[in-house]
Amino acid sequence: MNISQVIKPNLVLYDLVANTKKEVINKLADLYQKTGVIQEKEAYIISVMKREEEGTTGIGDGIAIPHGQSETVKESAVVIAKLKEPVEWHSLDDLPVKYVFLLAIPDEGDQEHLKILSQLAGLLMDDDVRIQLEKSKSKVDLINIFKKGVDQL
Amino acid sequence: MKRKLIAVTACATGVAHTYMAEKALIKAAKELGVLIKVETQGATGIGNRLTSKDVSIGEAVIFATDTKVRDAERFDGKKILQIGVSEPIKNGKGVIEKALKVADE
Repeated sequence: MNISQVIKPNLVLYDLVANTKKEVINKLADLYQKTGVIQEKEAYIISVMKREEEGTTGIGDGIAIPHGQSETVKESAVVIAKLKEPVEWHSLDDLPVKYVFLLAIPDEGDQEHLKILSQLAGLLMDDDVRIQLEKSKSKVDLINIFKKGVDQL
Repeated sequence: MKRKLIAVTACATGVAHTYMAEKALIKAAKELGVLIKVETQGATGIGNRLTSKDVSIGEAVIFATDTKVRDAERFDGKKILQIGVSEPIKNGKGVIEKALKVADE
C-alpha cells in the first residue's frame, strides 16, 4: 500500500467555497459522512475542533492538516481540499490557509494505513511538494503531486 | 568534524505532527551541516529508535514533544532541549541552533 492508494479521487476537492475554518471542516465532514468514512458527523467535528484547541494545525505556506480521532471514524482517511479563497487558521506563520488535509483517524485503526497518513504528513514539509501545491490548477494536479511524491520516500 | 544531535518527536494523536517535526528537523540540520538522527514516537510505534550508541554520540537531545517521552531514562545525564512538537515545523533552523547552544553550555 502506498500514498496514492489512500488518496481517493472522491475525497479530493478543488476550489471548495468556504469562509471560515469551521465551515471548511463542516463541509469536509459532510463528505466523510456521505462516503461512509464516519458515522456521526457531530462527534467527528468535536474531535477535530478539540485538536484545534490544543494547538494550531496550520503548518505554514497556506497548508493545514487538521485531524480528528474518534470512534465514529470507521476507516482512516484523508480529504484533500484546495479552497477557492484562503481562510484564517491561526497558522504557525500567521498566513491564511488554502490547502486543507483533513485526516480521519479511528480509535483503533489499521496500522499500515496510519503509517501512510504519517508519510503524507511528512511529505507536506517537502519544499517541492509545497511548490507543486501552489502550481496545481485542478483536482488531477493535486492527486498527481502525491503520486510523484511516493517515489521520493 | 560535523556537529551531532539526536531528537525525539511525539504528538498527542501520533499521526501528523510527529512526522512533520521529524522532517523539519532533518531538513534544517542538513541545511546547517549538522548530523541528526530523529526518533519518532507515534501511534504506529517507535521509528528510527535511538540506540545507546546514538545517545552517547549525540551532543544534545531535542525533545520536540507534546506528550511524555517513552523510555526517557535512556537520556539521563544528557543535555536536553525540551520544546513543543510544532516548534521545528515553525522554525527548524532556530531549533537546531538552540540545541547546539545547549550542547555548548
